[in-house]
Amino acid sequence: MTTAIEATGLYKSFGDGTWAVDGMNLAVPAGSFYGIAGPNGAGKTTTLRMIIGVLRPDHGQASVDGVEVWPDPREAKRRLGWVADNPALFERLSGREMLEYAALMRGMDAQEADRRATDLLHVLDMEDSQSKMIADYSLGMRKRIGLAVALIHRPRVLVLDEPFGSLDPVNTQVMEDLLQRFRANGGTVVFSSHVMDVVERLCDRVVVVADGRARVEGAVAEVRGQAPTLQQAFVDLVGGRDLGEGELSWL
Amino acid sequence: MAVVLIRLRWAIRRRTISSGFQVRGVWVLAALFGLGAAVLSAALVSFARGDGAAVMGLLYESLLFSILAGWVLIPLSIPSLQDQIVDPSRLETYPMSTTQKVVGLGVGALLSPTALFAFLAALGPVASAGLPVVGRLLTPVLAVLFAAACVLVSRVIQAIFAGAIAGRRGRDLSVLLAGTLGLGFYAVMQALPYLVPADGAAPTVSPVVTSLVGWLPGASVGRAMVEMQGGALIPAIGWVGVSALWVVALAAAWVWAMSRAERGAGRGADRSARRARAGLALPPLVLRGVRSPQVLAAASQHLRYMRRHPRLLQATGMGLALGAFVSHSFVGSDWLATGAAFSAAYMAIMIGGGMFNFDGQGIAYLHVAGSGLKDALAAKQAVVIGFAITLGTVFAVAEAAWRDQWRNLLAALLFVVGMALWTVAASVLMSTRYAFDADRSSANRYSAMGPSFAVLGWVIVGMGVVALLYGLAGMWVPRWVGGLVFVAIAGLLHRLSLRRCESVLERTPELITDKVPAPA
Repeated sequence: MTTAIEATGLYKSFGDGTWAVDGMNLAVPAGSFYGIAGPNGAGKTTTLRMIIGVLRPDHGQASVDGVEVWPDPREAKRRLGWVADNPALFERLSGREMLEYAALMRGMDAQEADRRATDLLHVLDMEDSQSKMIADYSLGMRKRIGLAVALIHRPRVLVLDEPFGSLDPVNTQVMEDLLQRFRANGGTVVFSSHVMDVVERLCDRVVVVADGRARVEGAVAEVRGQAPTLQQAFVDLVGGRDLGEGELSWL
Repeated sequence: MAVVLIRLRWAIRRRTISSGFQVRGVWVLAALFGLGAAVLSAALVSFARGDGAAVMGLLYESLLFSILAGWVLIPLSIPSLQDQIVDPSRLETYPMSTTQKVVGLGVGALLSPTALFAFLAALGPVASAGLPVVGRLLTPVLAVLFAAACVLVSRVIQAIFAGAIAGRRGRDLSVLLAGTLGLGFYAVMQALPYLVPADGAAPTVSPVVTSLVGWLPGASVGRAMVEMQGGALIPAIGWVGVSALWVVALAAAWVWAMSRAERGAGRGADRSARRARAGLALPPLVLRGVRSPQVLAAASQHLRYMRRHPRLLQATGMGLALGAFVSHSFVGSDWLATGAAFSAAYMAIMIGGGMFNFDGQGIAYLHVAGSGLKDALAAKQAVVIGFAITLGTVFAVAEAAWRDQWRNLLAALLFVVGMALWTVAASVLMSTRYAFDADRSSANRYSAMGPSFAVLGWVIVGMGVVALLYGLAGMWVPRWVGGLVFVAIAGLLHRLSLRRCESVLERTPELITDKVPAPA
């Protein structure tokens, strides 16, 4: 099996004596749709930030498309596209200008930058708002332009953090179609989410992360096991909490 | 509940004061500046007697009104410096009346370094010569009234424009408005000497102006003090009453503005639709010939931001207007080069002191994209040099035409190029080592203050070198030879500095990304 992303023994602490990521091991098959699920504060985003080369791990190694990320993440970054929960962009550029900026920074010539920006704006239904400043975009529009910025250099691996939050159903459908097309053309999609029905619907494989570690990993059906839904399997795995009989009795 | 807010504010203040050197430094600076203003106030009130009463009194009242005007302008122009430790919008869900909020937040806001400055400035006359005992006893009361008026006027403006400022366009407009008012204030200060009669006679002030100024908020405190200095106790007490009425009126205005916000008034939609265009939209016309895609992208972004980011636009405007004003005084009978070189340096400082400070979240994008920071630095500093040289050139040509110094133009232009390189050599270091987000309040902003003075020192040294080379060259060789030597020296320093910073950014992009972090 060829791996698109491999993480071995990743550790990260932010100096408070606890490990945000505590020995994470991951192997994402190339060409897969891979989900990283976990409760809030499980270490999903920290793991992804180490994999995409913006946060230096305390220990361990990650590779993207066969390229070691650390100590010099530049080559890995060329093969990656990253869409954050709230994408970081130049807010006072318009959507089109931001796309052109990203294309030129990735070394494309002006003609190619123009062609790809036009295509992406069309597919993401942003032609009418392409000249508006990103600062004036809604969060849903930011996510779409963030996705376009991440795709414009045709990365091998696309990593997304909570990609479907704040998108309306129509745009969720557009984004899902776009990601499926990216995967069909040989790309690998990795995304983190705690919305289990999205993970169940889209992913081939999933890893459940809790307390900075991978608790279970496998095909979606394997992880679900005997549980009726992936959500139930997730709650069983990371530990749900029922309200006691006497709790909040005053409410 | 109001007392709870005051105690909350005091607890936060106590914790921040004990938390770091920089916060304590701000308090110390506020106290020092406040003492300076107090000395000035005491001097003005001391001389507000006899023939000088009208002018000195007017100056003192204007000083207090200017301080109060600063409380209006600064929160508008630098929203990140708004003193919203206890944010009124976070209190909306608590069971408090608007009056309770205003009392709690208002009294709590008096516990700030800026309020300390205002209080000390108005307390100064307690030590002025000739003031009756009653006046000295009333001065602390007036100082408290003045500090309260400052705090309240600031809060009223913020509350009234909160809806507009929350939107990008409103914020941009307020920054530009504040910048324009600041420039207007500078122009008035420049014009003041022309009000003094040329024959040395004592300047006179129209009684209409004198009586009108006294009614302004803040200035009424000054009027009370001046009346006491003149021995007119009854009118003085009347002006104390006017000052107290201003405080009450401002508090009432704050209650009204807060109630209005709670009713949901004043929140307009921010609509924008612009015409789409064909071809690349990012690069401005002036950069269309640049071949490197990375440099083209980064330079285009920086140029766009110089027009679109209100703070950068403000800095550019200040660089143009004040740079030309100040540099004009450096042009002597045969010293075109010094003025022109200073205009280039001034512009480079204004727009190049923190080249990454205006990019906001764009920095996080550059980090994700790989080696973007290095390319961005190279492009941004080229834009700064280009602007500085352009301003210096326009200034040199205009001054040469005005003073008929065409013989010195070539030398002046070379010194302009050299000074732009000399200044940017320090600016790239400053931008790399002491970045901060200009849109957000952060400790990094304070840590950049010391190095900013170092850059100013570096520019002063550069001006010394310019004067030396220009003067020496004039003795033995054509002056442009001195200019060539300076370009060579500055060019070498600039190259070394830029290379060093590029390599540092390549190895440790965290120098920038940690200080201008991505959104949570």
